[in-house]
Amino acid sequence: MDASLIGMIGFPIALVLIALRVPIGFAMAGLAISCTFLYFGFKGGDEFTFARALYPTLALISSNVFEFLHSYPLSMVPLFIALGHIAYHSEITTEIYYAVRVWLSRLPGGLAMASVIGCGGFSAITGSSLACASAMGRICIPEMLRFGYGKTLATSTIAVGGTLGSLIPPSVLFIMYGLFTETSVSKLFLAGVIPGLLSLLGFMLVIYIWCWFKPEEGPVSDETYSLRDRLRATAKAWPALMLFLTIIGGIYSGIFTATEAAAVCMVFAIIYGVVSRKLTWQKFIVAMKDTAIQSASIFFIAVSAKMFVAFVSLTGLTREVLSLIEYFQMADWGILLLIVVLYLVMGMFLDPLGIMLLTLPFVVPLVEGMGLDLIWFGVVVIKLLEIGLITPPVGLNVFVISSVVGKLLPVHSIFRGVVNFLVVDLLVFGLIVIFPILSLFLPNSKW
Amino acid sequence: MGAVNEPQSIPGPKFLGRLESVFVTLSVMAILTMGLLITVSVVSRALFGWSVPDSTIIVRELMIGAVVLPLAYVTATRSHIMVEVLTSFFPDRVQPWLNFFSVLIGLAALSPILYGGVVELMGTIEDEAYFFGDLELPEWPGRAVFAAGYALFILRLIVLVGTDFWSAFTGQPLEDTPVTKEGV
Repeated sequence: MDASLIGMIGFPIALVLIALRVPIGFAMAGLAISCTFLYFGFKGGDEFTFARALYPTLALISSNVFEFLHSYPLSMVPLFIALGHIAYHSEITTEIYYAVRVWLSRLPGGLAMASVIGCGGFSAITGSSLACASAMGRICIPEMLRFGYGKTLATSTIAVGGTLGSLIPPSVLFIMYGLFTETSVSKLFLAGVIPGLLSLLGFMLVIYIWCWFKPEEGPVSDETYSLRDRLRATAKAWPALMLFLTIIGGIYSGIFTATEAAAVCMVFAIIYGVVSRKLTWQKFIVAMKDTAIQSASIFFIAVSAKMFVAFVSLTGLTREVLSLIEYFQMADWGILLLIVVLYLVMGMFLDPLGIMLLTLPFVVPLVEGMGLDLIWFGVVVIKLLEIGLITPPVGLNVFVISSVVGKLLPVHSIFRGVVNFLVVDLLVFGLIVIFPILSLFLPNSKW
Repeated sequence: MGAVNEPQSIPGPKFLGRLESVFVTLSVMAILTMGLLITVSVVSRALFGWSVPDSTIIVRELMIGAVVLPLAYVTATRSHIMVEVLTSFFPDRVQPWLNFFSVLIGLAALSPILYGGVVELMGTIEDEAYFFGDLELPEWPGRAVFAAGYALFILRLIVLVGTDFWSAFTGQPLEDTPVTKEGV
């Protein structure tokens, strides 16, 4: 049996399994192991030989899995996840929101804008879109509703604000991208800063225009704050600012690697939480347990993807895809458009990490073949995955917000609000594609 | 954080749930040790120009414990990342069969990793392999943790195959072990 044929049959089967609620890790590992087994079984002859298949398959699988996990740079993933959980339970992440809130209180839609900035700050520490939407949704949405904000504006603001976690460093998606494309995670982190801030500004602009046309949706707060109150609230947000500057400044200046930044910040967050008495023993246990569970889930998919990549390179499936594209003589922009459409469509149905790890083995050689920068392409991919988090019918962030607000607002109403932000999201995406300098300025100015 | 991992009941025998909790605790300790070790290395390098010997190797070994040991617990609480768009439209009676199908696929797909891991562990012990470095640390602890994590993972999958089949076949779930936010 032809090697690429095995892959061509196996890949759709894996997609069917994923659609049938088989965990993505199980489906990818199943596909990789069974197809590798078939590949070795048929290798060098027309008939399948069990004994010929068994040992090379086992050796390839176990060495791939162990060697992949046995990694120093990868330790940044559990450490950043731990930082996010600890910072959340120490109330470091939420202080940014309260600080910005008092400054923007006299602005129409100010509370919604503060929520988006709060989401940006939360993401800058936790690196998780879903956690950001869930945690900030519980804090910001009731506040906005209390001040008479429109339900659609309040919910959609947090749904889109949560997506900033993918682009603003540290982002787990960037780490995984860096790992599978062998690009520098530190460079990717720096590349995400300007596009992340652009997205944040774009979201604030949408809120401003929204409240301009419908002032009743984002009324001006009647709360008044003195300059002293504002400065005091800002001062309370110093740990968040310090963590962000340590991560970005440390990496940019070359004092830390990304892994070291993760470890130092995690230890700082624990010490701050204990000293400020906000991090109780019980909260600490919950935070660390969630970290262990989340890390294991992420790495389980990553390990399966690693086996999948090994299998793809064995079968030469990527070569087949490349020659197919050569056959159609597609222009570079056509290939790029195809990739964008692929990610947007898959983003409507699948989890971002799953999409990325399933597609990278095929997409990266194409992009490399076109001579495009993989750091820039990483930002493009992550932005597309970020958009996928809020596009119907799946839009994971929208469903997280829906679970937070319960029966207050149907899911389709949240999606209706999100559409306003999608316009800006696509605009920012266009800017990232047309002007690669937006992504490459920071990493190239350092290295 | 919040909704991501709400506590839920764990099917199967109580001892398995307890063992999974112990493994999660070990994973937590591994993550904390990694953070501390790297921080001490960074600080001591900056202040004294000295770093912890073989810290890179130790962190790599700890990584295995950090991400492999909780796998059984993640499976027991069904916290794996999966897509439910299509299946949410399926009737209720089909749902337990989908659970059964998932764990069956998982068991079939992952058993070879355990087998390979045990074979590698045996080879490492027989060869008395060690890492090149100041401390000449042995290679077997990481391999042993890997095999132990996957063994419990597979054991949990076997239990789930049984309990999910029972639930799907009879429509009645077996008695579950309740868990709190802190554990079993």
